[in-house]
Amino acid sequence: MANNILVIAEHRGESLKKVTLEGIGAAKELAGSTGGGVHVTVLGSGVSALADELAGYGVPVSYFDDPLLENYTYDGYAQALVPFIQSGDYALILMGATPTGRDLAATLASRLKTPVAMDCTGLAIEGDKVLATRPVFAGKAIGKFEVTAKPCIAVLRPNTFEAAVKADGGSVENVQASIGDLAITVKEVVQKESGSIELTEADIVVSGGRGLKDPSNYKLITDLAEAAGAAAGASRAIVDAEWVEHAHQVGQTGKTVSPKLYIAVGISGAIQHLAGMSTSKVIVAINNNPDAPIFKVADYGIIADAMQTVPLMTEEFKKLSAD
Amino acid sequence: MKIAVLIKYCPDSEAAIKVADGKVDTSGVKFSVSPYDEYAVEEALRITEASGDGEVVVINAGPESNAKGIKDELARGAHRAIHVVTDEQLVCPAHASQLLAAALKEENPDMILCGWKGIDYDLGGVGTMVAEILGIPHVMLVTKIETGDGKAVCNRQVDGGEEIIEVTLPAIIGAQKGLNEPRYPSLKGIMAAKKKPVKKVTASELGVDLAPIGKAQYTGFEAPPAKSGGKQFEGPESVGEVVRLLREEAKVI
Repeated sequence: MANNILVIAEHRGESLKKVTLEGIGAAKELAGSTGGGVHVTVLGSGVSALADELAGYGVPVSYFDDPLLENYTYDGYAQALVPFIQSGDYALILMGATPTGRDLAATLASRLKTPVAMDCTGLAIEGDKVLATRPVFAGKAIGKFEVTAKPCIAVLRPNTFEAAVKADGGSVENVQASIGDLAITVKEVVQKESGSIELTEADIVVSGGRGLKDPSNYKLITDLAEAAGAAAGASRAIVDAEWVEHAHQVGQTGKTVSPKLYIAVGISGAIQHLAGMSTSKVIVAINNNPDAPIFKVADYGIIADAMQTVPLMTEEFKKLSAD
Repeated sequence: MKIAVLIKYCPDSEAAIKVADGKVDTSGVKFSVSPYDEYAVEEALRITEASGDGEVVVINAGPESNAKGIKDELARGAHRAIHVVTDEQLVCPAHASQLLAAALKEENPDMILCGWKGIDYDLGGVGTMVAEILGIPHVMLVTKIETGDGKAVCNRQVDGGEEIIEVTLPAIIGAQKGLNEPRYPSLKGIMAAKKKPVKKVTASELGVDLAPIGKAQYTGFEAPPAKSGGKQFEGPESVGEVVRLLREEAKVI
């Protein structure tokens, strides 16, 4: 009976992505309901150290090491994983809802002819059913999605599930895969803004909008983000006005973030922006318009001029770090 | 070059979505072509305009009422359309993929574009699934495309940067915001759209069975939890208090 859970790890270079640890945490919680075990797999070239790191979470890790897997491609990963999954006994396969994870999930769903629960904010197992909760219509509705096929592929929204903690009992094995020509060629991987925190993984996000009035004022956002150890985001309005790149956009046609703390500065709170941040645990809004819709969702709203307020908040965060 | 573009017609991003009795009610809601699909149509138009020849065929699967969305893209400049007419909006991605793949097989285009995801069910799977059925490569989240020598070089947006991916055509390429700025249809385009051919086909004509597959389904929908009880402050000097509350009350810093 299929009841094991497989977590497909994601790494960028030598670091594991946080959402992988959240996947392992979720898998351990759910394994109680399936009566099976949690297995983890990682793929790449020269990844035995990553495999060891994963085993430190108390799980058996199977790793694929092949020059053809050096860069992620849906085809390379799927060629390795499909026979591996088919010869295993998996009720559930987990990965993170990152560009890589979503791409891989849709490919595996096609090749395994099995459904995918994409961008889940909740996951449970009841008997032989997987019950996934996923936002639809940009979060204006929450869908309950029930899967009876095995394996079920579930793709987890980052920053939503509790990360695993280190534990004993892990193990590592190297698995061979026979990978043929790849359907796509990765010519180059371009790292932009290395060292800055990825928006979708950040615990704290500070975003700026049109209320900043001038592109030069976006520096107030980056200064606050630095003081708070946060990622810097933006509304669509200032991305379209080319104050910042699209990679910073939070919203329906940008990124979906779910941090512990979201600070919205000079952002009115249009439906499309809320779509990208409404699952944030705590929302702070700074806006000089008391009627701005953002105040309806803010836990703490400050009616004030952003240009005067944000530097003061930056000072407060600096004081906290100094404590 | 014949470029096929897969388009979805769904509730507009501004639309309020009613959730009642466990169902999503889209009656009376304004529909429009999903924004990511508009980047795809625009790119197809630019590529054929740059080469001076070729045609752009838009393909949609859904009810008769989707005709308006198809016409919008013909008004932008697409040459013709294929409308796979179904009774209702498709929710099952496997069904949608099978219908679109069957329509594409008949067309045999040089390149296929689509939005990387539809803004209704936010899946981001159909472009990939269609490519897998057709046995051709796929690249999603693309912000730049260059074509030449039977290949396409695409910039794919990933966490922290981008990947430059080369694929041999035909392939399916999924548009991300930033690929281009879609044009507005001109009055001339709107008039011309009325005369452009829209071929209608049914699932059975394409040999696709729309019976429920029975492996997965939505069992219900809920409205998101409503936020309430926010605290309000006035003036820049209130930041001290807010930061204190964030630490001591909300415990997030």
